[in-house]
Amino acid sequence: MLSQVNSFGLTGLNGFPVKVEAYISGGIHAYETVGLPDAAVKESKERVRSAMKNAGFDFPGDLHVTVSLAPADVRKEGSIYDLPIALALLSAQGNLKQAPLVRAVYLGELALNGDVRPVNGVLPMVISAREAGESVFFVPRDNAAEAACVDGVRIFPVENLRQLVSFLRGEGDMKPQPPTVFVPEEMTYPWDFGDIKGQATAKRAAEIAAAGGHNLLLSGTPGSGKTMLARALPSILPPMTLAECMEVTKIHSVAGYRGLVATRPFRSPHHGASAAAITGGGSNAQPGEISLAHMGVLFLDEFPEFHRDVLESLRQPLEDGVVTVSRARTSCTYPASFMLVAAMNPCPCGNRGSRTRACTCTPSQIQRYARRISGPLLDRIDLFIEMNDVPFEDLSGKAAGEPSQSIRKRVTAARQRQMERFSNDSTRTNARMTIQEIEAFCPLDGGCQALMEKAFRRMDLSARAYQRLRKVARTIADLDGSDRIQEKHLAEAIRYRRLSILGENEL
Amino acid sequence: MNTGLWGERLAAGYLFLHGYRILDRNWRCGRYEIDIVARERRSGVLAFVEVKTRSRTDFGLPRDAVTSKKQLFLTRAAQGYLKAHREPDAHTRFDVVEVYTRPLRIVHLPGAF
Repeated sequence: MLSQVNSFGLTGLNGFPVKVEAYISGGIHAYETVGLPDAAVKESKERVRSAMKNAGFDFPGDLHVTVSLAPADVRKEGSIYDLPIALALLSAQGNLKQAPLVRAVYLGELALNGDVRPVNGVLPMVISAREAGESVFFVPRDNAAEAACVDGVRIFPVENLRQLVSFLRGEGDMKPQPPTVFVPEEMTYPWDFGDIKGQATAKRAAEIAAAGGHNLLLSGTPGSGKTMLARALPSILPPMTLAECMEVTKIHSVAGYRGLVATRPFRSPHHGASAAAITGGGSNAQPGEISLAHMGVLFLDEFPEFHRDVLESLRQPLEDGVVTVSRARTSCTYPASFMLVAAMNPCPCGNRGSRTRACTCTPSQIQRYARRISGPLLDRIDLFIEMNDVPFEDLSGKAAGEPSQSIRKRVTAARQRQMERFSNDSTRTNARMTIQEIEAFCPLDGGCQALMEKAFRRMDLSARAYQRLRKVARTIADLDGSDRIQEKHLAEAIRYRRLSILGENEL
Repeated sequence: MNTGLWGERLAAGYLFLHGYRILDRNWRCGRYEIDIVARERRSGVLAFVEVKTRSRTDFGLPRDAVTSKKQLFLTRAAQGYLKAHREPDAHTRFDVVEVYTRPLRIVHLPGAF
């Protein structure tokens, strides 16, 4: 008459245990779901009824049924409770023993015919559940590979209700999902640096940005290869470790993408995107593009065309590497440690600085265009690259550029040096160094000091830009295999801070 | 005798012949009324039966006349019945019995809502 089934819930990336209880009694027939269910949970009644009948079981339609999702004061969302509710009803009817239902965690949506459908957020739930001491999971078959990434758990892929019930009754057999083996990616990327002709400076800057996790702004005439360069960037980033993959997959799982994310994410939202789509939002505080680009590249093409509030909302996450999305009901913190790659034209007509075409913009047009990107935001970008038309000789030349594979080796080596340097704390790349770390790891000797002072005065740098310059210089030194920042490293770093590409008035 | 009452008598007889014990007829609870309260002998289920009699179906089937408002009233009455007979956990059911007069035909819908 009374039964209980273990399940799980999710707020943001953190899971919490949910107990699904069912009580069946006589009296006037009724069906109540309590425990702050949302619409999807309430509607589970109809799915469960149909699924149970079509799987060959009785639905207690003429009895008084109470389904409770404990804890009662936390909102329950989504369709994951269909399967546990069906099991709770079967158990309350006396068709299923209680014991196995409280020793494992059950998740899954039911189709009307009794099939089990995949749900969102399985990986973060399994991770939190394991921390809470759970070790056996019954998940939809399509979520099993994702769940089996976690160590030390047994995942059973469930195809339909019938199959699961006969297994729990000890009649059928069910094989646990083999652990998902993680192959350190030998992924092929659709875009390769070898395909990009010319643009040596830009490629070098991209390499530095990749090596240190720095933010990059590409400005150039239409068709000069900005987009191509950005798309090829993930191919020179070092492969992700298993821990990184899990972290990224967790976020993607919450957002409704299935399967293990093994390659660095590359997100390129359209410039019409809203602030909520970029930073995260919705009534249940879903992750946005910046969190989906965690550990990867966030590419904003046509940078000045983005809405102002969208661009400004990037400022804080760029600095902190995390974003807290607060809504009336929930507040979630998502990691957002991404590499920003922005691309723009140098002026509205796009031809300013071109060797072959004439710019038709007035100075005030250019100024207005450049002013769409605020100073504080520019301050957070480390490398500014101007890309010009590719001359015909370069385009038609047979000589292929350096392939991504070999650039990646250098990048990986530079990252390795950084990893050793920051071995004992959460900093992973030069771009994420704290002030103390900059002081400790980026000392400037006499020659560098003089050069920096000159640049500081002439370019009218802010304190933050000063620190960022030192970080970039550190990365260039790392690529060079040097423990010390030399004058040539700093000089190169300064060269990439050419704000003049942004119009008349320099910042 | 009016058609409705005639139909209810007929329905009661039908249920009796089909294995039900008739416990009450026209049981009233304030303004709510149950046409027939019967217990199925085989299962012991308590059935609250609403009888609808029709001579023609031009205006819809008899079962269509059991609207959601009528269902609510029947539920209230049933609650009153269970309370009055101190059987709060009885296994219950709501049935509709349709009586067609021309030609004479009886349709029993167990668990109609």
